[in-house]
Amino acid sequence: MRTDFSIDKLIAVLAVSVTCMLGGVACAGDTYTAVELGALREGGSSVGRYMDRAGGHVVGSSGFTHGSETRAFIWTAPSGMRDLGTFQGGDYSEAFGVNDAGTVVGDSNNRETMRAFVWNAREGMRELSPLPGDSATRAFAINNSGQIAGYSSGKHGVRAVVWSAKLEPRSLGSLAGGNYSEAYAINNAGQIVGMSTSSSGTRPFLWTSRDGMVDLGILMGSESCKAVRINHAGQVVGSCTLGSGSRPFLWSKENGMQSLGSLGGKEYAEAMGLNDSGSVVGSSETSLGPRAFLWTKSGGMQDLNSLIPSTHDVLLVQAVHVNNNGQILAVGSIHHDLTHDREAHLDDESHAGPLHLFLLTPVSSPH
Amino acid sequence: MFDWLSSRRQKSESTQRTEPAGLRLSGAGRSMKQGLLWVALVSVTLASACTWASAQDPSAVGQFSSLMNWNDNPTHAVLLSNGKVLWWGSFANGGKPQIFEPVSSTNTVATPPGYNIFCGGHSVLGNGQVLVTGGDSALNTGVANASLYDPVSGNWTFLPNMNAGRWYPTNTTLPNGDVVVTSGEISPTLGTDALPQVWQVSRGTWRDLTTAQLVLALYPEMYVTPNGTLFYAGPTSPSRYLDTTGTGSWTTGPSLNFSPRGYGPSVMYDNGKIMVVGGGPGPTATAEIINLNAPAPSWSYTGSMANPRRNANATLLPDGTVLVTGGTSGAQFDDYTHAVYSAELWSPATGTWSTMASLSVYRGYHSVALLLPDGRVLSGGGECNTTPPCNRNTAEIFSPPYLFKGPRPTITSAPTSIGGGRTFFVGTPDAANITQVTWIRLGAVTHTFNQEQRLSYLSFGQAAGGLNVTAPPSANLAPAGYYMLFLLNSSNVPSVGSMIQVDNSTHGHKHK
Repeated sequence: MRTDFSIDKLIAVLAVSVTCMLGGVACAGDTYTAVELGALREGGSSVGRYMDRAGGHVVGSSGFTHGSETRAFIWTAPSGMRDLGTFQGGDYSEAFGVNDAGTVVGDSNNRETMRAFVWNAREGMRELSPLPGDSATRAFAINNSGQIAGYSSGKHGVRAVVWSAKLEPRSLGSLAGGNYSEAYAINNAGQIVGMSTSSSGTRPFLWTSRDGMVDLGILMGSESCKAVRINHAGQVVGSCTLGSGSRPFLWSKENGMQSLGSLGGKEYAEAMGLNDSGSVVGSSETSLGPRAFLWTKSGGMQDLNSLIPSTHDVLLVQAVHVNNNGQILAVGSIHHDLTHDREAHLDDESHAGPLHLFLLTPVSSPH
Repeated sequence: MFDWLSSRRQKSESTQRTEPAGLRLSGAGRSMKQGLLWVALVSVTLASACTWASAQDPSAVGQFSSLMNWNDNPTHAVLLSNGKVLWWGSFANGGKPQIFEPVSSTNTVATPPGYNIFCGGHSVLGNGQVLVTGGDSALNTGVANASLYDPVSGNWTFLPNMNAGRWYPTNTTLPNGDVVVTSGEISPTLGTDALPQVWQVSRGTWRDLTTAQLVLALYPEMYVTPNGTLFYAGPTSPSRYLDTTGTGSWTTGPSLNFSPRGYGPSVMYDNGKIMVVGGGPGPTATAEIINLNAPAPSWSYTGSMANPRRNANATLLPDGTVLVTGGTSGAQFDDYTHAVYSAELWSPATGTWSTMASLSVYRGYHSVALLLPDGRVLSGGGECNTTPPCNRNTAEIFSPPYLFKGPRPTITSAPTSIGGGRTFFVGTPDAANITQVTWIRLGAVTHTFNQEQRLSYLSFGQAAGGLNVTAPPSANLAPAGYYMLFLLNSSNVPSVGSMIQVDNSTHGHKHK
């Protein structure tokens, strides 16, 4: 159910001076406009997962703060946030992926289990079949060919799958010695990344139709890694556990796995999004709590909040996606006295919610 | 004037307990210079004080202790089999547990687990070790770790990781002592962990319920039912049943009349009988009950509290009543400007609520309440730190009315361990006056939900020098682990709880 908040409540347009984003690559001198995308429930929370390459479609989930009555949504600028509903008997749904045509994938509970869905405006929500004999499915990503990545679960375990454009599931198997895998992202070339257990532990994988599932390795000192995004160039981002924290990584065929570090060297940082230019977004712990970050090859890791004028009341804690236009989808909280409290530790207030979803769009400044 | 006193009484009950406000005013006004105004003031305040004294009779409304200053806010609290409380705070302090000793009211530093267990799940295994699952990497991001805390050695042991990170999971102890872990956020990118996993104690491995994938609310309120399945009671609707045998399966149950009940607690107040109370948005003052022993269980309203509440805690008491403490009646999630200070007590016999004494500070989000073996209730923490009315690094202890109603029965001997379903002897000089015997599983509470507490009424008979007490006939009614045994006399005054370990490996009755 889309709520009809007044425009000034729903949409806060912020002129944000930040590092320039030109074609998805950082350079100095540009500004962002930031649009708050609203919520399905009055006073509720929204979490974004993905947007298409042009930023016209944003998907995620929205519900009451801390998770109840959560529904998958698609957001477009003309129509705002639209509730995609649930399967019959379901009490929960969430959207994880969308392609440039606005086709959405995610999952929904039904009366007895969780099933992946594919949704478009014409046909609504359709169920994705599990592998033969399985009972549950989950879909995380869809490419422009309509191929979908996710997993199927049943008596034989949990297996990464790809659904064809005809919605036929195919198991991707698992790494040697493993029996559990999940697929999280797929690019337009049909390359898929995810995680699989193996004889060496939990590892990130890259799957291609030619080579099958390949272990992408692990950061030194880490116990387990997952790959969550892959771009057109075949670059991959994910995160590895490291001690009691985690580290984001960028993997490429040429350079292998590279740690992206964290803000201030803190224990926790996690990569969540990647565009075709190799810009990475995510979240990192800081001395003031978690903060959204943008990483570029030239600029390294930057706290997005440090680039926002201090006159605004928005605290960005997670950047979940960046597209090829350099737009960033970020989750944060709104504080009425943030100008005063900007250097305060506001983790507790972010924790209590509600969480707000922002679409940051770079605006080129005169050069 | 009365309203002023009433308001003041709510906000500083502990001060007024020792020096009621009305009497203090009259004493302060000894100067005759205040003339007639003073006389009028004294008249009104004395009258109010008399009313207050009656209303605050601890045998009617109980009594909160004075405030204890702690060095952190208790956000998680687990009662150990030695009667002490393992607790830890929020955010960066989630990796720094402490141990509260109720008799001396002192805290000592516990061995740290080595990672942040804030926002994890917890339960007490059959051997008394505490199983902690998941924890906090960051907002909406869990860790996959699982660990055991041994109250004897004070050490932590790492277990194999779960399938994914879990932030806000629930632990539920099965009849045989294994533990089901449900829900918990993996990360913003990957959503909620839909896979229930069973920690198999004897094997030391996780069993994945791969045919029971379902996205539940965070910190789902799960209970073992009399037939051995698990029941999802809230905070969302519909309720559901989880069969944990094999690779698991769900079936849909009845719907709540009021939903969602976010941050509204629930309790299993008798075998197969559950109450959910309050919650929001709203919040609501309503409460609902369900009897899972019925052929077609359904939720129905019981009496409503005097106050709407969200972020309150519900605690089972030895006499079968349910104590609700803290919470906010405001529309905002953790709204201290609408703090509810007064506790309320629900009677399962009448379905009605009685207003109890008041907390000293607001205890909302990230507060805890936990029954102690001596029948008192520890109430502490919260996240709000706007003083007043918040003071999160504090705790206070509620003494229920039954502690002001005469001598307590005593237990002179009881077994430390029994086989499930067995009859055992409890020594007491008060046997002839015992009218009820109950036991309550050790609590493990956070975020308004106690993942472990459950109460059973035990059958008993007179014996020389004591009572023969019989444990519940099915392990489904008493999952393996530790329970506090209470004897209650004809005035419903409980004994101090006696710690008993239930070992269902020797249970005389089959269970699922």
